[in-house]
Amino acid sequence: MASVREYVANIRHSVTSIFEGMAVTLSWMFRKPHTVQYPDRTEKPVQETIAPRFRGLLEVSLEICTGCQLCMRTCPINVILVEVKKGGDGNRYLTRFDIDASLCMYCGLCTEVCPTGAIHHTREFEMACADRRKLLLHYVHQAVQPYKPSQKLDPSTLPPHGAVVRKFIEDRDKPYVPYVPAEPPAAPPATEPTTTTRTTPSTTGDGGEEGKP
Amino acid sequence: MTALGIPDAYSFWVLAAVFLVYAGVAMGFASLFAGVCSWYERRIAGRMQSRIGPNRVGPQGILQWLADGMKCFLKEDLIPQEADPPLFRLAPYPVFIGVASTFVVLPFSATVVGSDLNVGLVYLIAITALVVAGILMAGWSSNSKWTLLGGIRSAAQMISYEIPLALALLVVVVPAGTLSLQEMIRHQGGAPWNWFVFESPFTFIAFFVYFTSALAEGNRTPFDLPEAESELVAGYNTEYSGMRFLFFFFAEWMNLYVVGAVVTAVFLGGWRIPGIPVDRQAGNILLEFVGFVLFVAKSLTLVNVIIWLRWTLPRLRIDQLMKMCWKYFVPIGMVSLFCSMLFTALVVAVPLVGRLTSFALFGLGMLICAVFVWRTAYALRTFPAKPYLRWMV
Amino acid sequence: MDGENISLDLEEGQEMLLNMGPQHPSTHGVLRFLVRADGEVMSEAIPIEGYLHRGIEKIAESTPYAGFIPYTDRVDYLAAMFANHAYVTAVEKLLGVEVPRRAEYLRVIADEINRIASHLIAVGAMAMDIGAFTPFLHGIREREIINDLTEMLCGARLTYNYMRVGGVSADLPDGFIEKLKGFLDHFEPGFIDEFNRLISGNEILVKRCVNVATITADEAMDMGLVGPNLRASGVDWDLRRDMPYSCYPDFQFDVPIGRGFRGTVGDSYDRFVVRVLEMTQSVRILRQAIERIPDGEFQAKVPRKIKLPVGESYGAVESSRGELGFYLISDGGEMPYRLKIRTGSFSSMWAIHQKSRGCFVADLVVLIASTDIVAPEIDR
Repeated sequence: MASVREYVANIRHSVTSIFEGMAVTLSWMFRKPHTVQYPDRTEKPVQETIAPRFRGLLEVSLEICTGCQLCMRTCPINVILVEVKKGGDGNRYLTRFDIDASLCMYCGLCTEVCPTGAIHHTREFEMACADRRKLLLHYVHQAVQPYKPSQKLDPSTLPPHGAVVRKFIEDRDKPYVPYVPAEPPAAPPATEPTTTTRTTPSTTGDGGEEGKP
Repeated sequence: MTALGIPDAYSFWVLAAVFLVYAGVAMGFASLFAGVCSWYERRIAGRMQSRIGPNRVGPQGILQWLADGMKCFLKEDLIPQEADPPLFRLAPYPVFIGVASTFVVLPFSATVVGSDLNVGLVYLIAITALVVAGILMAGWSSNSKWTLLGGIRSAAQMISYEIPLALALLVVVVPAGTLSLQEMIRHQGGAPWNWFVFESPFTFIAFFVYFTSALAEGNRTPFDLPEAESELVAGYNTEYSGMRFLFFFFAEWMNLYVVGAVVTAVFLGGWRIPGIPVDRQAGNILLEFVGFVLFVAKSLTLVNVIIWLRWTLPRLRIDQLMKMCWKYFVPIGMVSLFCSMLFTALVVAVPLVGRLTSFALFGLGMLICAVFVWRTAYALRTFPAKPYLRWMV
Repeated sequence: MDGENISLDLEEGQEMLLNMGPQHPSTHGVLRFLVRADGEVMSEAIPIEGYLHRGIEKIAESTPYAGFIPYTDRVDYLAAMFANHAYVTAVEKLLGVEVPRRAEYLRVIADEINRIASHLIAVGAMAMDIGAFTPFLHGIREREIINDLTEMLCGARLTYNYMRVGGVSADLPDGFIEKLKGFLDHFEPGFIDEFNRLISGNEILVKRCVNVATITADEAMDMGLVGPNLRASGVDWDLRRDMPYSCYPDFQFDVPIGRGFRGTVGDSYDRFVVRVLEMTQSVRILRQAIERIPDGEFQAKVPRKIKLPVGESYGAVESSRGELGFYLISDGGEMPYRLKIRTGSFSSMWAIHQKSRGCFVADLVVLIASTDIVAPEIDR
């Protein structure tokens, strides 16, 4: 008799559990689906819904970069390249700030060590493009002097958060243009009076250009 | 034929032409159904999984199946190097023919049927057995151990489940007294309590037995081990691509409609309209059309149930499948058949028993539906599940 | 194990060699199995690992301590917080840093959230491998909320890089506690009950899982299983309670143990149910943590360049897949001399190899899914 009871119990369990499961699935037919139809049928633009701390593409605000190269040293996979060269006038110049967005793992370690917050994550992530070379983001096109905190820059003069990266994203499908690293300016023209003809030797070690007009 | 003024010599060709036209129309209907059903299934699956299904190709994605069909059509025709080319090429066709040939006996309306064979049910069961041959050919000729496993599993499953299938149909044949599908429908009434499913407790059981066996015949979850994605990477049709793959797919979805249509015809009153006797329906175009709509609606409801089952249930292992067939369905089918004969004899003697049983079983059916509705409402109430997404951030 | 040099003597005409190749929908990552089968019944399923080996332990030898934390995320990307936690625990033990209370609470909150997310995938993938596709997607839907929570917290949705030596990287943002509370109220008992009604009680799943690959308590201990696999076999061992770390002594929680819920103790169904029950316990811990979280610092003062003294340490946490331990040998420099990662999935490989004898091929899928292995943990 026990086996008959087991037989009937098998049928009973099967039927009740299957019907219960079917009721759950049917109930989902009456609920709204949770799909967000990115990118064209979303309720709000996606960038507005991303958390402030989201680790998206890296952006550099060159206006406040101090050229300390801490980010370059902290990066575990060496995707950042910061070059600081001495210019003709003896000052340091930032000549290169490259971030390889294809290698970067968006861990955020570089943003934590930056003393001014020049390198920071944006909420942009749509950098997928057809040419891999465009993913090497070059932030320096013209040699600039690094920021000195004593300059006390007014933060409202900085471009909006993410503007530089958005420019990269807009241009991602344009043809690739090879990048020429910036060069620091050469020594300034000599300003001594024209009476003496003694030429002061150039104090820079580059080019061999004399600082004569 | 001579009555229509066609000379005897041409009668064969005229008949052949008529049949070809009918076959074309039926296959058009079947293919359209198969295609749209694939889109529909994906939408339903999406909604059950709290997502939207395909909705981009065409309005609401309704042309998705066309895109899939075109894609498969344009694919390279690959035959594995070590495969058996003649068998490999031949295999999709028995599967397709086995399913497509059932459309001959499927009734659509009181007078619209391919051919009202007086052994309709036996023809149905026999012709679907052709599918087994096709699947075995596919599994073997692909020259891969995985496909071989899938093919053999499927063959074992299908030939085993033909027995409860036939037994369940026989249970209904007893009160109906005929094997022809149209006759069966005529013997039923229009109102739900006059359907064969509520005729006796044994036909009620036979409904479930037939439905489950037909699922097993069609390799649908919970019996889709032969094509289990997570185990055999599509089983016997792994090596097929392009049009050949589409044949298998089409066969599977056409089979859905066939299952729905046979269950409707045999158990659920077919194209009968509640309250209208058969002879009035036969000549009247409007009533025939309403009957057609009812028939298709009932079949589609069953197709919905099949889709619903697929996306709810896990799949059975092969030995559990076989155990269920031989230890549960076959004995239940045989006992039902025997008791159905006794019950029919009882009803002939005492018609009141028949009427009372019909009403009681109809009440039972309504009770099951009510329990479903109650459990669904319970689920909706206890877990509201508003979209909780990133708009909350 | 090198695939080419395995000598298998197949019985002539009796057995066949099936290859459940590196790409397979149900091997939970790139993992290969050589299956010797007599038709449906397997005699052996030999796992061949190494397809996802990335040399993380070797990379550790040339990465500074603080810079290695993102790599630990990738050891098990579904349980990334645990790997972070274990690694920084190992470093802190050698460094002798005292982690502030609030940081410990934040770590526990992050860990338990990650445990829920990981178990959702585990049980969902198990149901999916058995054929029910719907519960997996429901689990993913709930996991989306957790992803959003971690995005608020640390900025990433999968590879968190949240823990730091001496604490965590950032404090809770505004509104996090409310959102977490909302999620917990929504999740338990609402979602768990629905999940149980949908699939845990489903007779077909039960019949597929009971008495399949039963691992007794002695066998589990012999094979070195950990985590839910061990607990499902009846062994009452949980690192959070028996070797407490962080601030777990502050919390009250049960440790679910396999009791043979529908079959024998230690079968696949027990492993399934233990994971579902653990999710409930995680919710309980989270509710307590939210109420009692103290104020304070979220990171201790730690030098920028971490130089550990010479020595060894072992930091282990109870991850969702068992004991995840980092054994660190330092030679006094800025980078480890040797870092060894001990993962739960690696021990499960032997269990799969042993228990696959005599199963059906279909049962192999259930066995793999129930032990909740992930390929990155096995190969590192």
